[in-house]
Amino acid sequence: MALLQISEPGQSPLPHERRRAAGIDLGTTNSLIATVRDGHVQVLADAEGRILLPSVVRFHADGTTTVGQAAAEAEVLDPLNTIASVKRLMGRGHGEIGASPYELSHTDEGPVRLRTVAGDKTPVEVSAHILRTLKARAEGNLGGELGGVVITVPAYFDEPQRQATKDAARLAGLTVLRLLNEPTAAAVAYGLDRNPEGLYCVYDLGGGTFDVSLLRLSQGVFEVLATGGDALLGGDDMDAAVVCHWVAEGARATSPSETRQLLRVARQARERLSAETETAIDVPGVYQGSLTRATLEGLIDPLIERTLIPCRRVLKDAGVKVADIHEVVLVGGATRTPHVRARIEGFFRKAPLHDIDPDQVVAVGAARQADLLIGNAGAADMLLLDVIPLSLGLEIMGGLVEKIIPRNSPIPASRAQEFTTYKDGQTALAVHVVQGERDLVSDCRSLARFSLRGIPPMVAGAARIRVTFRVDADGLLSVTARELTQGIESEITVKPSFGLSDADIERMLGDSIIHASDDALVRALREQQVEADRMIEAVEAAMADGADLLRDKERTAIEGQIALLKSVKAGTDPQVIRAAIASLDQASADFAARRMDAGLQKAMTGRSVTEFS
Amino acid sequence: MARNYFELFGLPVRFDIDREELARRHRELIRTWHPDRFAQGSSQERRLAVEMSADLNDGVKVLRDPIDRARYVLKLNGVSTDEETDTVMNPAFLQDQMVWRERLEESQGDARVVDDLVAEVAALRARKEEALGRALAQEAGAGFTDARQLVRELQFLRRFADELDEAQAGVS
Repeated sequence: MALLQISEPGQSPLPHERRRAAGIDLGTTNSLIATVRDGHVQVLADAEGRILLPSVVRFHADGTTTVGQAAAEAEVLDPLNTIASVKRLMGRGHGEIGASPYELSHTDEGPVRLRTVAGDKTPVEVSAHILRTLKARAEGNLGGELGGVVITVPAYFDEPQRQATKDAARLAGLTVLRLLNEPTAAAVAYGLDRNPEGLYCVYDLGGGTFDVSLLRLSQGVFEVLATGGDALLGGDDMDAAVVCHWVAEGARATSPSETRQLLRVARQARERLSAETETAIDVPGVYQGSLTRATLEGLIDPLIERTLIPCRRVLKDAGVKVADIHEVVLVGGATRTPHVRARIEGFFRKAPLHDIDPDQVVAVGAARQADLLIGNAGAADMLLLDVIPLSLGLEIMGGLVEKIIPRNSPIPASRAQEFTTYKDGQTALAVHVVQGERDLVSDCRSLARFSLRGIPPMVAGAARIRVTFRVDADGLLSVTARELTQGIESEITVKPSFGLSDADIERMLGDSIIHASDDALVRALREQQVEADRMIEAVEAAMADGADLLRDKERTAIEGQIALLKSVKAGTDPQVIRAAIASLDQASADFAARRMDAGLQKAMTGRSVTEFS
Repeated sequence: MARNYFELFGLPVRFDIDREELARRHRELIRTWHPDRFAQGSSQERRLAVEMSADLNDGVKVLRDPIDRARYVLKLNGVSTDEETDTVMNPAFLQDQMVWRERLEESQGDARVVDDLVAEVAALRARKEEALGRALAQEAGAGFTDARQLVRELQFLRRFADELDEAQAGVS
């Protein structure tokens, strides 16, 4: 598919060319996978017919793992080796998490590591096990390998949490077409079904996170206007509040396994109270009693109140009033609780929609988007425009934050800001990238640090350093710093200090060859071969179509690189192919950019003003 | 910035633009150039699509906002508003600012005082924005000096309006 040769909306590939794609809701409590078949979304079940895969992984001493229901059943039995709600730990450093039911390995740097009988495990590795299980389920169901997936993340996930999710997918051998925000996915699921234009508010209270997003659907474009939430608030907190209440009433949990048992019983009681008004609680030797719906409502009310703060902020950020909202959509198991629904209805003065199962709605939307991105869903000419959830900025003098890209900016986004030196003769500049809304660096999330060196010595304030932030459609950031008088450049794709390094991932991929049948090297080779084919096809098509924009010398160079790439492509070393792709990319980048600008002008000049007005 | 935002949207370089038309053109272009349209393309295409979409998103933001747009028109004409370095402002303007701030501080959360301030600031901003439009519409850049000053004052007023907004949120 060459640039400027975009297939017209409505043109879908022939049926036999349909590629396998799936949407994955990687949840705190449960995960699920869905796909589009004959135009309908199907949420895929395991051999026992179960749709929800509990997001629980149990590690065994022999290096094997159990995932899902069987692992969840072992939670009480083997609490330290059975990891649940790992999503809460994604992209987090040690200092950033509070009390944990697991044993943490003590390292000052890098991501949180959980100590298990099978060794230390990062949250990325744990999540990869969940993703592998879903991948196997889909591939068994669809009868072949998945071409790509869309994975959903809470809209409020920050950069390291998004990066960690992408790393987990890579580790599981999945090609990520896009990270999609959960509320956006839910809105897609509803919007495409009914297609009324207008403002949607998505209220998503899951097991571990709360998200609220405001979207506008108009002429097939889904535009996120504002998003907010609380990354550490969810149904789990309701369970914890119930357990605290029981402890105050005399329940005595003396071991991690008893605490876990109480939490499970609390969740079950909460679910039962959606239909009943009182339920008996019996945890032998720990607690016996009953829980009424009224008591539960009193316990969870402060938590629901907390969800309304981001709701107000999102309305304010988007400059929208409650009365302007067309529909309120509910997502997440915790929204089944009648009291949650009642409070939402009270706040929005409108009965919320919940006719798509709140546990499935996110996966349904993700499957639609995956089908579209892989090139199957020609009919649905829909575009999603997302925003970044938290402001991105730089540390400036005095430990203050200078915001470069404010929260709720549409992505992709790019913003540059100029800085200068503050000392005479200063030759280096330390760049500290942070994310958050507060004014002090110490109150924000530190994402990365790097240095721009080799600035020519000048008097203070004479150097001009441009720092450029670029955020892609997945919400991932890269930062470039450039000294403008001399052109010295330094670039970093943000890999947060508690993220995994590429070396970590390579090592884990290596490990997975030993422990699983997944052959990482073969996959890496195939990925590079596919990329090489795409690149050759795109450049050749561009050269045929845009010969007038091509300089003779450039043509010779590009043709040379194409020939080289074609010859190494058949080889077995992914690194060599990658290098040849990079060379062709470099040789053709200017030409591709010129074609893009020419295409833009053509798009604008071909139209008379009346077409736009 | 490599691309001129006005050219990006096929609009003439002038302050007075049709915002609805701008929104329409942005929507049309982003539909074509969004990276999702290149999910199956080469990495080079995806990278260029990210850059193009980022420019479109940044461009529409700058051109949609009157202050940002005025600042951009001035910049394209070689006039910098120097808000970082040049802090000299019209004394009468500063005097008004100080009086307003005192009133806000002394309001002690009295909603009526804050509401009055909001109305006064909104009215002044509207007048200054009109003046800005007139200044930038003058032939051969004759109004650039006035426009520069107005942009700086409007930026001040915007910040103060944001503070009032917070104060209003606090009292309600």
